Amino acid sequence: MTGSGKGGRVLRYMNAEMLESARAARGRIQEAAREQVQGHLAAMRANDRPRAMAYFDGMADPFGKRAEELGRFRASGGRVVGTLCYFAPAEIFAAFGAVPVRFCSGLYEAVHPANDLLGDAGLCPLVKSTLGLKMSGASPVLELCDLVVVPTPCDAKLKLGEILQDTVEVHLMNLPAVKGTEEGRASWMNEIKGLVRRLEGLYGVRLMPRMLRKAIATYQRAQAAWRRFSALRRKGGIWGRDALLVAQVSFHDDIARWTENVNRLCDELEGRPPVAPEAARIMLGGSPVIWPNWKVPLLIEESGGIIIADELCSGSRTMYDPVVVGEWTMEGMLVAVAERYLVPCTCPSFSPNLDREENMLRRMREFGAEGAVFHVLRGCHLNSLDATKANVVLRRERLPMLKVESEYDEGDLEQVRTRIEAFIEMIRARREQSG
Amino acid sequence: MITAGIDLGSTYVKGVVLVDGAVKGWGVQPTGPDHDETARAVLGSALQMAGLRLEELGYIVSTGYGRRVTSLAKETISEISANAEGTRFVARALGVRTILDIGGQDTKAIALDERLNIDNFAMNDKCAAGTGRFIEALAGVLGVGIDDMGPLSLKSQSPLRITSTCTVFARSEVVTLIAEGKPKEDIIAGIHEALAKRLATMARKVGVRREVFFDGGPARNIGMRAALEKELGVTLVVPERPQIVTATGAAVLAAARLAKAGGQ
Ligand code: SF4
Ligand code: SF4
Repeated sequence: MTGSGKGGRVLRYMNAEMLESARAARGRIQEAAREQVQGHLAAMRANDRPRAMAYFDGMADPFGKRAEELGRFRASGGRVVGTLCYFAPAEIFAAFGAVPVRFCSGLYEAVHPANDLLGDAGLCPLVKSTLGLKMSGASPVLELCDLVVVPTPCDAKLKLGEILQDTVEVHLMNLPAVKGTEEGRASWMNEIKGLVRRLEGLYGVRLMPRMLRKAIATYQRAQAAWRRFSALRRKGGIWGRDALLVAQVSFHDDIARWTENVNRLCDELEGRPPVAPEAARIMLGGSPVIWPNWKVPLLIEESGGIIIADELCSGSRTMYDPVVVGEWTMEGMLVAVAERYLVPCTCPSFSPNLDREENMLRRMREFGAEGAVFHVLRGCHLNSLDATKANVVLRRERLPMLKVESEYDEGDLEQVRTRIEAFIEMIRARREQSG
Repeated sequence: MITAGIDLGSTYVKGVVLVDGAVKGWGVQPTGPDHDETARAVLGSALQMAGLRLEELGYIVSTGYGRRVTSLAKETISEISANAEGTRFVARALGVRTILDIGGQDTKAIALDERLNIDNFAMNDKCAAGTGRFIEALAGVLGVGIDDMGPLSLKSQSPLRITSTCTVFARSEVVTLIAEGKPKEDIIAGIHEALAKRLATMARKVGVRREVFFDGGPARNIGMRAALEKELGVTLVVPERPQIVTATGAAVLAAARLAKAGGQ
């Protein structure tokens, strides 16, 4: 049986009762999110941290200040587009004057409504939580999106994009699995152009080179600020959990304002002593860690470690790579944007993915990391497999790695803690032996 | 120097009192609803055995699943590190390079390097599959006391295959086998084999190098030992009291801390 959803959409997979009970959970999801956010922030503030973090704290509540701001922006005719993953090209949305908001969700409570539909499908909690967020209508920002752009890196995201169409306009971007070939690049370039056409149709404007040029320049400044920040992390003046929050505020913030605040944070970090000079230097990789699912970062840093670097698509990778434009023509700029999202990304959806292992090795050496924690969300097969491969490669170089599987709920907290503590104790014992 | 180690496991709490480098007392009790209370009782009996009082303890370190919930300890350490420490203490001269430990809810394989430092470790990632609980639950279904499982299984001529390591599914397999009138000893031998296979897979993940040390409560089970030896093709080193190795490690660590701080 099909019914009809908001805006006359046809309900193909969901039904009215399901949505009704999801909507009834809206308040609970919002409340739990607020509680989790405030709880984490309190824990994070209890430690030595840069003053400039206050700005990012203020932007940390997904349903807080920034949501209100975006609400006003939309009410006055502004454009807001939802995205998932790293691959939805921010520059393109910005060129149309739209604010892209990444909706990969880290909210545990939002998993429940999605379970009514997908509980038995063995999907990762990130995808379930994102779906639950939409079904419940808990995110005011997601509710005012004109469109949600869903790249298809893995089966879970692919099906998420499909199912989301019951409740919102979706644009799928077909991501090639093999990125190193001409064909791969060409097909991705086509996807970028397809997105441009879709947005042109949606907003009734033609994309002009100056619009794109301006957007690219704005993001280049953001990317430069982020690279400056990434390099400064090496000195240890900031906890990894704070650095990750900075990255993820960019998921919904005004990008120029975010850039300014990252630079301000960098100024402060220049002269800052390490927050934990004795801590075991850990590099965090694997499945995306999405605020406020801060379980693994908090456990690492509560157990005598510091996340000195990461290779997460929700962390370092978010803003690291610049768009490098050869020719400032429309075609030249589109190629540059397309390449920026495809070539340097080490998402496990690509094969071969040698650059991920090499990246991890290089980064660990550069940042003096003594071990890697590879986070795998339960149900995320791609990262689980990449973890197995990375373990072999890192151990060959005598770099220890710990693979931790985890869910969004707190049920596995102590089990994960034991593994992380043991790993950090092992690293410290090694250090004592060799020093 | 007098110290203690408490290992607050999910099924048993173990305590060890160490006096000048020798184990003088120990205690073991099933984990009660109140971890801290059980820990105090266990420590009490270990102290009694050593003829000492609580005030005489210079330092206490806790480990195990409940390590953070007891107010007795000054410091906590993960059970992986404590187990390795305990192994170094009870088997220093034996050239142990691999530790296998079956606990109540976690099963572990630890690889040691030449200097007996931890080189790598693996733990079961889910539920009670392949842990001490697995044997306990199935012993319950069979109506066999946990201490009788080992001797009984040795009588088996042809162990039966238990295909599931999930406790819930294995339970129904066992129920079926009982209903089919299969001999208990063959079922029990099959249970040990299933668990041994699982543990061996984990061990191979970290690399099996001799000598292989086997501890944790189920290491007392002679049938379990035999199954694991067969699976791995090695003779296992089993300590005299496998259940308290991890608690001993915590006590040894406590002594090291005390020595560092210049205490007596
Ligand atoms: S790991 Fe890849 S697929 Fe998963 S969220 Fe990140 S970019 Fe998307
Ligand atoms: S790549 Fe993994 S974490 Fe990301 S959406 Fe797919 S299954 Fe989930």
